[in-house]
Amino acid sequence: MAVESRPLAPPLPLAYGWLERLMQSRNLLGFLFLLPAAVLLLLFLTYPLGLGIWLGLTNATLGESGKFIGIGNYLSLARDDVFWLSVYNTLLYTVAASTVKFGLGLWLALLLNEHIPFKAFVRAIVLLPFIVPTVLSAVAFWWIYDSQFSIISWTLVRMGLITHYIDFLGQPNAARASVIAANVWRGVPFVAISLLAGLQTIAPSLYEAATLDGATPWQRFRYVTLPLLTPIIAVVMTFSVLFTFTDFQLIYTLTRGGPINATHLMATLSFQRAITGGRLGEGAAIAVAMIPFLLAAILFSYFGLQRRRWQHGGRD
Amino acid sequence: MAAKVGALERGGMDYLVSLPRKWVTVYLPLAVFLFVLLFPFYWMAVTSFKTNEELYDYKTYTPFWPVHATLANFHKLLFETDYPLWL
Repeated sequence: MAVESRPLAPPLPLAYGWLERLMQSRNLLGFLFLLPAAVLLLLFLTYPLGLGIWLGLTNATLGESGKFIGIGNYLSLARDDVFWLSVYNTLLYTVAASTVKFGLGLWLALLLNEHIPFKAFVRAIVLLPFIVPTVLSAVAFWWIYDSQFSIISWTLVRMGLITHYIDFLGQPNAARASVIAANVWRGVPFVAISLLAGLQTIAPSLYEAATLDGATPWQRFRYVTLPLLTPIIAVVMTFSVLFTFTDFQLIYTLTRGGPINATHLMATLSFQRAITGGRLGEGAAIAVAMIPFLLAAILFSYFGLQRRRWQHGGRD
Repeated sequence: MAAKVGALERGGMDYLVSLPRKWVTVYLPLAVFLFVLLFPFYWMAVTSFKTNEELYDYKTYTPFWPVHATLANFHKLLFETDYPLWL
């Protein structure tokens, strides 16, 4: 490090004791100052993660520490249809929900960026779905999706669009669509408000110049708004993908992974195997199996979306 | 014309957009967004004021607002369960 080669104070004469000499050392002081943060990180970040990875390599059950069995858990998971179904569900859930969230969120952000009456108030209440606890909104959606008393089914039947009530959470594909819709409902405000913050940093003069040059509204959006918004989009969508991929509360409250595991995500399956089923090792292995996907998403965001050349509309 | 003057006073390029056009491109989609985002909250609130008969009978009572509003649900929650303790 550069610090070592350029000591601030000259070495003290030998007349001083070893303690004084030690306290003058920049390296020791730096180490001392780093210690609290390093201990906190090790204690609260690395330890649970390390314990999770270790548990994934053992056959631990609730109440028993278990023995090291290597990659036995992963080998049995590789032959487990339910596990692969949960991987498929998670990918479908993440891709579908994130795409819709991005589209609707960007649209809502553009709408909120206009001059509208009660602007601050509207922006505040739009955030409401994001700030209430997920369990609360999940219960509300549970009642909305109820197979007999669903308000959506009732309205559609009264309008004559359908003849039978929709079994929202009872049929595999309907249940998938329902939980994705609930997740989108919850996630759109976050995306919209974050993108709105990005939109407000774009200078109005750019739009004025583009208009003078004869740009249509679509061209103003495509060649002014979008390139300047790309850095924010990259960050927001990374967060959105990570939150969606690891989603647990919404699924667990709405469907518990049912019907016939159709909505089981990796997180809910991991909880079910580890805590409800008592097989800690296997649950931990499922959770660890999520890490490569999350790392891939982060790496894609950092090395792909946040590239300046891409952001300015160029190619490699 | 008044709208145009108002838009000019606000600055920006708002004066280029006519009011009927703004209704279709801004206010209408925004209203739909707000309705969808806020409806579950309204639904939750309305449900909490309904009696049980009303909740399970959409034919006699309209489901969109409570016909016989009641505080019985809140009374039960606050005085007949351990909920205050959890708070």
